[in-house]
Amino acid sequence: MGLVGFSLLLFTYYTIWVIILPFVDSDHVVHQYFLPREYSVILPGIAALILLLCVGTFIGVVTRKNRKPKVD
Amino acid sequence: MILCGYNYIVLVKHQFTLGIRALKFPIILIDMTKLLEWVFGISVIGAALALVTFDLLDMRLPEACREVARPMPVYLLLVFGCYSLTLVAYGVATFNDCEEESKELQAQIKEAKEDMGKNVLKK
Repeated sequence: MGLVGFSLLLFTYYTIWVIILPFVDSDHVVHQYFLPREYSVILPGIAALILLLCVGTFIGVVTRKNRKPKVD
Repeated sequence: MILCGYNYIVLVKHQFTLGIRALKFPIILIDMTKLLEWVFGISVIGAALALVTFDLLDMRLPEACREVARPMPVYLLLVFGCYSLTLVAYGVATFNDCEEESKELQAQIKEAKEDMGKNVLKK
């Protein structure tokens, strides 16, 4: 259940950041809770890279562990 | 519009079928497969995005619209990821244990072990 809540939270935060904030006046209070807009593209990009890294490392480790020893 | 030759090829999972049904795609003279539907939908969305991002028709859109359209591909990807994560997490959270079947199985295992023991002794 925590994972459901986390993904909903992430979705709401990102939606507000990307879609709603550009239409809000720049001197509104809510802008201080959100990073500058460049980060809204950079951060998911970095997260995707880290995810790919983790997946690749996992596959590498499992393949290395299950490699059969060479039969003479 | 007439729906004809609606052949389905089940290439994608259940949740994708739901999404395209909601758009109510009416079809024309070719056999419309699910793949074709998806390609069509994605190219329409991609064309609309490209139009706004690169200002291809020289529409003088307000600056805010262009600022919304710029991170749109990343946003759509993230929304899709969140949606799948929610579905998977919800399925895992509402997965129920079968208490009775578990007890029955344990009883059967015990019975089988006793039977095996008896057979060895009879020899």
